[in-house]
Amino acid sequence: MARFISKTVPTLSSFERGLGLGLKDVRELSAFMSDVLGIPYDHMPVSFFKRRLTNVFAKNNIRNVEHFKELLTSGDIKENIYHDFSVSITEMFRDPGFWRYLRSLLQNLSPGKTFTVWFPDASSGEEVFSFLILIAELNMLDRIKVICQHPSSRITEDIRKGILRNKNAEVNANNYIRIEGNGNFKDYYSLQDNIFVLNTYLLQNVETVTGHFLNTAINEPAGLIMFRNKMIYYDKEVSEKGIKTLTGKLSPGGLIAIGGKEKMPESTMSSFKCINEKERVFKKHGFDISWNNGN
Amino acid sequence: MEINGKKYKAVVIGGSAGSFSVVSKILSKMSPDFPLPVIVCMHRLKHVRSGLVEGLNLKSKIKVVEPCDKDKIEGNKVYLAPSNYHLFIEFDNTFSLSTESVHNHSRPAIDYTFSSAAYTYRDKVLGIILTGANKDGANGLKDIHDKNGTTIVQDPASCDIDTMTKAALNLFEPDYILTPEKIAEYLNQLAS
Repeated sequence: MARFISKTVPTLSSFERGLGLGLKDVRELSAFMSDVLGIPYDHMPVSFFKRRLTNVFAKNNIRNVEHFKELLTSGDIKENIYHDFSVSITEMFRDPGFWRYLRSLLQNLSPGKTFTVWFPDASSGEEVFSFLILIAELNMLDRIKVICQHPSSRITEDIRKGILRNKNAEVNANNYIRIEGNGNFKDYYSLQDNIFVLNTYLLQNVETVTGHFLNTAINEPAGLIMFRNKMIYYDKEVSEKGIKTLTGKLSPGGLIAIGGKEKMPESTMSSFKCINEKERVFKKHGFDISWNNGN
Repeated sequence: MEINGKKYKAVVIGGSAGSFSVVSKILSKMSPDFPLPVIVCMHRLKHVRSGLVEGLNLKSKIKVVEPCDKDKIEGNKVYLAPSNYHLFIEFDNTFSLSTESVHNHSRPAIDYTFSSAAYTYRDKVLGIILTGANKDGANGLKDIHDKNGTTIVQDPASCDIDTMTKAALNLFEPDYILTPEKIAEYLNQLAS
């Protein structure tokens, strides 16, 4: 078989080598972070934890693990960790088929029905703002209260102000075309200092809560919980705990949406019926909310 | 699973432009009893979520599936990275997915899948890079090489676009440079 003799060229260090942490280091450090911050970092996939920690170190000019522990204990970088550990959603109307399906469900709700939609882990505004545009086009803005929650106050503040910091205008606009919206995407936002700012009227019924959803639950039942691509950042144990927590806050007959490649933990399935396998939408047993397409 | 005295736990394959037909050809020539998991990361359109698995299954003798997050990795299966997710291999022999930012303009990014395979399987992984129009995968394949895994680069002369394979060849000396037919032959040695 052929062999190739190449010149030797220095290479970039890979993301896995970023901090030079072994598995034992990861376990110790993630447990330490969980103790200090009260968020289950020790239940995240190892590869994910290392990537995000590399991100935190880079953004905060942290020299080494000891320096990190020092800052963490002093509380100086708590907010930065909440912010830099989270994964932005990167595009509005991700999975256009999901949004078309959600619209069809909302269209069939009983006239006058009001309810709450909860985004328990709103790591950036894309998903929330997509939802707001969707309900604006259905003239439902005044019927739906939207609660967005995240441990980072910077993130919840951005959402409250309608700010998107990712510059994916073209992707967002193309996805909007794919959901077959009935307006002009550019009419929903303005650019202020080159930053996307959602029009204020869309945010009229939005509330923000700062805190992790496992520790700080909302006070009212939700008719719809948007939890797409959140379990992928936790192991089975915390995913199951998370879904059980959310189920407790979901109205009978309410819906929960998860990511297209996520599975509902088996132990929680007795509470739900899957109403759309492809778009991963589940309906909690009961009839307080009548989703006509999902009965 | 042993070849030339070396034990393997998985095969990882990455490709971009033009790689669908190459992967399809390799899978069509592989033994249906191939015992290892074959993990394929191909650049693909993010808004087209179906069709690719079905297309590969038409010719493959081994079942091709798109894994869900936390799925266990099993032998005698081909796993295709889902569109718009990065695909990682974890220590507990499961997949994890991520929606983190694109890497080399790509999600899934081949570098990520390859690097996580190198980190998890170390020298017990066989990495193959195919035709493609950007440099994604080259660094990941080097990670496999650095962990003493086995590396194969598709012969650039047989590529539709050789940017990806040449990027790898500029970084390190792979174990083999082979045409798609020879890659399938090599893999079948693992099954014999």
